[in-house]
Amino acid sequence: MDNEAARKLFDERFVRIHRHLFRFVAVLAPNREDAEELFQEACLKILEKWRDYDAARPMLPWACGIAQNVARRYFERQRRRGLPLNEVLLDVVAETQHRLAAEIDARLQKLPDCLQQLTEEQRLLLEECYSSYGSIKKLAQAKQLDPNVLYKRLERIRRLLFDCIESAITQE
Amino acid sequence: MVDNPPKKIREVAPELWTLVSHVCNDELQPADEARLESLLRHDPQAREFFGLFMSLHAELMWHFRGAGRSAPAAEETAPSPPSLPEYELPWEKPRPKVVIETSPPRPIPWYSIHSTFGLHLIAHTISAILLLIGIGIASVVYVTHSHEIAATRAATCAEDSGSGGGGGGLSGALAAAGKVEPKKIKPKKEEASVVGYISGMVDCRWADPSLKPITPLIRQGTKFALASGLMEITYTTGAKVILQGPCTYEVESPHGGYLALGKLAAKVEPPKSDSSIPAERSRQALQTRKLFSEKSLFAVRTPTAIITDLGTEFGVEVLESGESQAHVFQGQVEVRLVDDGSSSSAEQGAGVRERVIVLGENQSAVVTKDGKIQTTEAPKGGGPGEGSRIAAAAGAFVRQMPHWAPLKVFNTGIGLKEGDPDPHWQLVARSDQPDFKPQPAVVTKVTSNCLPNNPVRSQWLSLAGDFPPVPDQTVYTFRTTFELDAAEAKTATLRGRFLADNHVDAIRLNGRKLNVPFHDYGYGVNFFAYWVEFRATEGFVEGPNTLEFDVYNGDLHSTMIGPMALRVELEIVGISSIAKRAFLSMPAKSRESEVAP
Repeated sequence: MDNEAARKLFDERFVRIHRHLFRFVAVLAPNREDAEELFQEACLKILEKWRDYDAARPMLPWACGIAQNVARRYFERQRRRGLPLNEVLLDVVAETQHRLAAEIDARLQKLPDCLQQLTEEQRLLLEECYSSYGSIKKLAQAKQLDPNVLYKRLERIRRLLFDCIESAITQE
Repeated sequence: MVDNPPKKIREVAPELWTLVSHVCNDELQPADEARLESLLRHDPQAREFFGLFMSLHAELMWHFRGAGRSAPAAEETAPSPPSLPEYELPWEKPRPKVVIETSPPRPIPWYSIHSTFGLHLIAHTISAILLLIGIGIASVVYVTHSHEIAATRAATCAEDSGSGGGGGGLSGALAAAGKVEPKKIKPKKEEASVVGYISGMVDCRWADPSLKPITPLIRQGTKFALASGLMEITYTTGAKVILQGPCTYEVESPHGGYLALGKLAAKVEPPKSDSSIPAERSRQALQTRKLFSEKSLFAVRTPTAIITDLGTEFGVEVLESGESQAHVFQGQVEVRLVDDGSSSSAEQGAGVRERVIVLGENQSAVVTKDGKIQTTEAPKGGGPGEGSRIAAAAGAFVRQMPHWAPLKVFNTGIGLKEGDPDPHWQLVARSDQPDFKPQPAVVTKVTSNCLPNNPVRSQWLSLAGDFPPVPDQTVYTFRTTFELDAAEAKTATLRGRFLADNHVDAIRLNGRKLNVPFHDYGYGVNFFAYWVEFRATEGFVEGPNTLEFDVYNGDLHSTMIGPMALRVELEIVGISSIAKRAFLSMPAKSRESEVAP
């Protein structure tokens, strides 16, 4: 395959796995700001190494491997308090993600329907929390709410969604 | 959904719900982190739940990604265009729409670049500005050049006449300027030119973190405050200087620097075109050449002396007491006292001979704070006395940077045939046989979906040479060992790559786990030709080091049998103690204290 064709194939596949890659990265870095920054770094590194990609193999595991290394270095650099996962667990979680990849995909296809089953208020709250870059605590302060109240509401909404997905999968 | 929650399919401990919620809210405390880590390590169901739940959290992030950015402001009424893609690729932004103006063109202002008058006005203005800049540059160059010529002439005249400062007025000032050693001229930061680069660093620690170099290029005026370690500077003129911490040094020009404290060794190759330079030269010619010649000699300034190279290798040390020491390893140097300007011109002229000396090979000089020079020669046999003290000090210079060298470690199956046991690699454990006895791993033939063996580089290892099928869902541990001395253990870096049928679960260096990059369990065509890289920069020990690989056979659900094999290529580099000793100029016996960490 010539260079141009190889690059075209690479680009096409990269676009297809983009969302999955973000999901993988966001599991390693659940904080929104970290996830976005890490995702950008991982994408740049993957594009840098595009010639290393073997087109005979699936792209997502290869890209996730790169993303995992980027995550490791990123966390070493950032040295933030309260990092959810230390280095060893990064590997554990990453491996679990890989093993459950097909199941996760199937489950998340149910998410849009489950979101529709939330109330308007619950959906708006979810959108506010997940679209903002600040902490939940800051959002609570902006809304003049006790942060614990907001935490509890979010936890309930996430549980509802999780259980809705579980139920949908089980009934299939 | 709100009133009738669905039947829970998965039972999840409330504690785990709370912990993952904390993770999602970025509120995980250290105690929670430890508890979560424990749960995820030991409970596969907790791991599975964590993976599924965090994927939901991640998917919500993706779903609402951009929702905050595209939220319309209060005064906007038009909705966001629905046709934009939901992602933005790093290398490709959405192209803007092409808009074709169909209304008549607006009139062009007179000053606009699109108007005839405006275009000419702008062009002429730019030309005038460029002309003014050019005149300014020319005038600066002309004045500077004239000053240099005048100063040179004044210096030469002053020397010829034997007078110190010459007449008054401009010529006197220039003559005085020519007589006095060139002061440090610190160019403005933005004008500083590159005069060298950092060509080596070993174990550097910085006394002043603000002076830690962030680029290998060295500009005029750059200072270094080394607390310990070695740093080599290569000047654009070719001179090399090795700073030994603790040391404070400033790079003043392409032809030298200022050593405020500590020691350095300098090596300056004599210029090829000047091979006819006589061994003895007049101090006057030296001074003139040093100041303004294109082939300026390399010089190191200290608080009390200036040590000028005459095509040689030498060491300079400045002690806390302010005393400067110079030692010549090869060739010659000139040692001159720093003129503090207190003596009269006549005194300077008369006393210049006592304030300057030339040292030859194996000679040393000490310049005290009160302006005395004491010279000595290193006794050949060694022995008591001041000469020996100075000679011993001369031996304490590092004259060549220790270099990284590859250390001995063996790739799997290197240099062997299929069926041969590998003397450097063993199979030491298998998870289905607790009583398994360690045995040499064997170079095995492999099937066509594996990277073919290469005896020159590396080969696949297994339990036997015929790629035998072994039980799945079993972990096989391979081990290799290698020796490091104390210095190597401190400086070693291990780089490696592996191929595995089917998966490397863990790599351990002296029992400590290394990071194993994510990799698949081996499916698809040509999978077993895809190297996985790893590295280690710490965890090495003096003496024998062990490196182990846990190879998992099969995939996670298989209960059959299948072949199992490992292939590893390794590279370790470090600085050996022997290499360090070889580069120090003192005899090995008296160097024990230098080498000791």
